[in-house]
Amino acid sequence: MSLEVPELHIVRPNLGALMPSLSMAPISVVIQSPALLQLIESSYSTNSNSRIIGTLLGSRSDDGSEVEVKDCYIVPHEEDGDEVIIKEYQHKALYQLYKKANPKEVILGWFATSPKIDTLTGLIHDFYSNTEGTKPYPAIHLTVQAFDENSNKIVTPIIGTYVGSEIGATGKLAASLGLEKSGSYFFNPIANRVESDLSEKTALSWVSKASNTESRKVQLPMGTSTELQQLATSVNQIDGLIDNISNYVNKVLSGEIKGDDDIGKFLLSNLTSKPSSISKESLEKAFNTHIQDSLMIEYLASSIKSQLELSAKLTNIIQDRN
Amino acid sequence: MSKVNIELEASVALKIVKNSSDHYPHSVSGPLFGIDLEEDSNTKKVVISHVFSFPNNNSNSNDHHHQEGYSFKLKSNLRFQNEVLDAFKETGLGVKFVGLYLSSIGGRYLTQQVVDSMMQQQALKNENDDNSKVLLLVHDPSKTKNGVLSLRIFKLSEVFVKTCRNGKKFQTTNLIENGLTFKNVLEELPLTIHNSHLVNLKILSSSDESKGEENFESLKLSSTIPTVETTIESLFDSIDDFNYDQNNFNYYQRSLSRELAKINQWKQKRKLENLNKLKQNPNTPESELLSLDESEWSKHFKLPSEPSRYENLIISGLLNNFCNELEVSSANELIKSFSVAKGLDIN
Repeated sequence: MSLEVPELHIVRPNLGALMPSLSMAPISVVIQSPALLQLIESSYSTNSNSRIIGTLLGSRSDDGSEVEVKDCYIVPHEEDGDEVIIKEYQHKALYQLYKKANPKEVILGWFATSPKIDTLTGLIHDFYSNTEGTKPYPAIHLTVQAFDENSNKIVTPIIGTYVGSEIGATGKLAASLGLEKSGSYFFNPIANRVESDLSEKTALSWVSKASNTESRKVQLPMGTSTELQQLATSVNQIDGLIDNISNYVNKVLSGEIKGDDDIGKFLLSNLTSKPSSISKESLEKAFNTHIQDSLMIEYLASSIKSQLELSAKLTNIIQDRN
Repeated sequence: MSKVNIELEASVALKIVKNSSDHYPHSVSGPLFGIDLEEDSNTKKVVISHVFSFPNNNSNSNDHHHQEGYSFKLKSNLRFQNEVLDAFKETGLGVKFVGLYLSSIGGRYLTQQVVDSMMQQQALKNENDDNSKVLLLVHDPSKTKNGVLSLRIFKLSEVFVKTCRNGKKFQTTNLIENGLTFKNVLEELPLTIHNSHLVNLKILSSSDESKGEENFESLKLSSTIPTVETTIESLFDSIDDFNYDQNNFNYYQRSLSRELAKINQWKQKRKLENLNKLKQNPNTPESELLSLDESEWSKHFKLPSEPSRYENLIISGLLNNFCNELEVSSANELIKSFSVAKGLDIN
């Protein structure tokens, strides 16, 4: 990415002199999936103003080239013409609380629920770039767009991420020229991606189940048999996949469609695969031992359960008689 | 009985899962915030829209034994909870405290600390004229790692609350009267995940892979073994606790039966004296006979008071949880083992 535009005097946003090792401004933003949903949900907060703004929290990679958004919270503000008042007290109070619960998280920048970049954007960016904010690192700006003004329609939320570069004379130069500088930034779009780990994907699969229903709701299984239900679901899924592939193979065999060599090779190597490093006998033995162990645990659990029942019943009978 | 529908906003579900998986195997906890609405005269709806983590979680302590819910009882956490609520109110969020979440492995969530703090929070709620129930959301991160989402929500059962209110507390007669057993201290409630429109749009537009649609983690052989091991260890620890408590109770029962035997002896003696009196003079008026009433013997003997059954109740419930978990995971393992063995053409 090129920050040097010949016509403009742009200071690299990282204040490199203070932190010589950090020569890079963030070039990509990772948004953790819980934070993504939280950002989208914050669009629903009622605010008399056109947009809702808030603080982004998370962590930076060692070289500062990547930031990870983990949390966010709304900060109330008022917009009036070309002035903006940010409720600094609330911002600080919530930050302190987040800091207590997650000592490693720092302020990364801010978000707004409007894709517009205007004069106020610069002013708010100023607020987040100061010493209480992200200094000496440059602040990032994230936009959540859920409304398309051209078509006047609600759209699938679009996330935009920017890093601001100060424009014009800064620091000593600005002071010596007697310039009062605030909110002059060049917002450079940077890449963002959403990440979710295995556990989050497990949760997302349920969120996605809810998304396919009319009411946008899904009931979670109750009781302890969740695992068995999940097992049944997975087995059914596998069953479906096997059906698919066998249909495909049948079609290829009957000459209906042309077979794909890669699929054929893959099937050939996987269907015939058998453990070769271990003899059949020892494998059989290992399986039997494993099954015996599992049975043993089941037996242990059920006998303790009966003991518990028995103990509770006996105590009740004896105490009642006395 | 009014019905309660509990809805968990998608972001809260994800946040809890993320946070507790990040700290696994340590337990994390925190307050849940939301709103409740009257859907109609019979149905209430609770929407859980925000979640926070407590600053002091169990992970700081080295003692691994019996500490689920330990963080709930810390004053600093309670203060933190109120500060968060105040901060939310100042930013214009109309939410209130609805319950607590806890990440807990293998059914370990049922402890005295958890139950005590739910009662305490309930009392605080009632003081503020809020009659909604304190909820406990339990997430098992060990299962989520295997592709099984285990999010369950509980409240203190009606019978438990009734038993507590009764002056006799946790005495056997009171337990029997109210039908309270170790199985119904907590009552599970149905829980739904709810997507807002915008979240729904975003999810629908994202790829299948990123949504975790194809998730076959739960099919892996032996995926539950580490959890089974820790559960069995906790099971043995809890059995020791159970026996300790049971010994106290047995001690009480022994001294009770000793006292009862003494009273019987005393009653026999008096009966004999009465008989002798009647033999000498069959017309002895009843008022001159020695009384066998309780009011009389309680002057001479004192029955030991019954120890509270509370601890026994909770530990039994905990043991029952462990056993249920073990039964399910070994059944799970057996199914997988048999089918894999069949697939490999052995057995």
